[in-house]
Amino acid sequence: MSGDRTPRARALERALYDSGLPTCWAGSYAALRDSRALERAVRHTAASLALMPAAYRWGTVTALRLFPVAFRAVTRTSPHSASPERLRHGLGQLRARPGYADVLRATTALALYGALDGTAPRPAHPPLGAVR
Amino acid sequence: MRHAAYDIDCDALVIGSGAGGSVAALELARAGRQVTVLEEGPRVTTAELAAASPAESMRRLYRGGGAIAVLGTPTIAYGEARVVGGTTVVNGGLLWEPSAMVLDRWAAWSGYGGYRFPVVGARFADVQQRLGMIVQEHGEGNEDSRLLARAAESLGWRWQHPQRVVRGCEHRNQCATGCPSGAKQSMAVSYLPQAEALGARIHDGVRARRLVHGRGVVTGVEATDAAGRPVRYLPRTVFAAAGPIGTPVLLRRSSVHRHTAGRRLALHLNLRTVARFSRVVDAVRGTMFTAQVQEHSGLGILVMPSNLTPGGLGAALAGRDPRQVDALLDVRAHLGMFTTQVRMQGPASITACVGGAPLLRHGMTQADHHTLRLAFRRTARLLFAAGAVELLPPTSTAGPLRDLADVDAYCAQVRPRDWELVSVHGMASCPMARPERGGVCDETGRPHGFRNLHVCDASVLPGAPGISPQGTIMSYAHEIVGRHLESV
Repeated sequence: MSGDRTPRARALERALYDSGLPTCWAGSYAALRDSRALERAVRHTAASLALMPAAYRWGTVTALRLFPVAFRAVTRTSPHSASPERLRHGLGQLRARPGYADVLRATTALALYGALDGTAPRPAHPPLGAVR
Repeated sequence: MRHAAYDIDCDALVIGSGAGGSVAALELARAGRQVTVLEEGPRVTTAELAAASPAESMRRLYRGGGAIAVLGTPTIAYGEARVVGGTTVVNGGLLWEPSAMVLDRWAAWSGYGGYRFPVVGARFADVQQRLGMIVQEHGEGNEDSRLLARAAESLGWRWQHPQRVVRGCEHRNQCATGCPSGAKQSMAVSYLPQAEALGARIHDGVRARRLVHGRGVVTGVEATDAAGRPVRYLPRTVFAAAGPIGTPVLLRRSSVHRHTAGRRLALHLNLRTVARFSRVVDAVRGTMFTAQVQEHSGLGILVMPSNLTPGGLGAALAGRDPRQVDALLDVRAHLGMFTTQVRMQGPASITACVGGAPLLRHGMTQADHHTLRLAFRRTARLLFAAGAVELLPPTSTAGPLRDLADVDAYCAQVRPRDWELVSVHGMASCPMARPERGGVCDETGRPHGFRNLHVCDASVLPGAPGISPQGTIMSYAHEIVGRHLESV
């Protein structure tokens, strides 16, 4: 539904995983530690980015491609192999950098939204006894 | 493979199916016109909304997946829908009447006096009656609204239950991702089915790309259909209602007032404040909100609870330290999220189109920054009176605020670039005003110099009304279509 599995969304999923950002999320946020939650997060982030206007998408993809380099510059380790403490430190450093602050906030917002609000909907009818 | 365009003859063509386009579709159909409605987004049923997760609906119903940025200092997140029924599918179903003071101010600025309160108010009364507007009292849950209302009373501040167009609201708290019970009277379940019953046809998944015109008459509309094929509509009359971004982009792409359309876009800004209470609030229970504090509406400031969901809360906290996010999500039953709506004075604009998509910029002014600080101060005072023990201001780098002294210190330090702002109300991008005052449309909603083209959505409003604009948009649209029907 809604472009989730389009070629563009799949390419963005790969770009996200390659960037190491999902590893940072899983190491930093309890809500994204569970593998199914992380999968929902990545899928929603990639599918949302795939729907963004081209100019914004290109900017975000460029920032994602540069993320491993930027992360290494502030932590001297790769986001794929850093310890949880390093992951948090690296994210914290990059959140304070102009440019990356907006990109990280936007992508992390999509990830948290996808993980926490991406599950099956609530029942169609309120539970018995509920006041309507 | 390139396909040759195929032609479709039609009488009245409505581009867009939101609050403005739906009015045009229904009123023209009622007058016996053969109506075709083009909608870029999909048609989504109530059953589909009920079966989808909020994240799926966000991607399916919102333009750009809900992630459009208005560039500037700071970047503002902008949201609007792209679905049959337009933004009425994902809004709160609020219906407020524009005030006589706002309409008088618009009349003075625009040079057109025909849209003052007696005219617009009568149209509003008709809309209110047709959609079955109610005063939404507290339902099961809505503890955040109850706290806000009691706090307002303790301060002697004015508050009100919202006016909403719902029939049997089940308080499912999913207004922003489409009502799963069909209670909200969006255009998709009200005006549009009525128009279809009168013969109107809705073509979903069709994107209008360009108006073909000469000597002030639109002779064709070039579009792309749901299968990606080019199609050319040949209408007698066109009503453009593609929204505050879509309509000016269409006009500019068609060389219709390309130097003025979209050069000025009015926004309402939303500040989001997360408040922690010592008691359980369980703000996910209940309808969107059932109390709005209007004490400072004269300053363009309104305060109300937000449509809280776990994901929405996580997204609002995303700029903060992960440990803080974890800690807050752990105590989310004690949290409420509150929206402070502010009318922005500095205009935004559509600066360019890149890859077919508009690039938006804003020019927030020092006066806006001052108003945001004032609005946050008033919100904080209200929330502490409501029993909040800690506030997280809309700046990720700022720590929790525990009293009014903290709030003062925050307001003294916050810089324009620090605000984290959201807007879901864009307006006035093709305003109805005399050309020498920057207007794009005349008093009948026609772009100056055009005879069979009308604009009847949020873009035609002369400014930002300072309230949820659906009622104002629909009232204007009824008047514009009414004048057209009287003239033919």
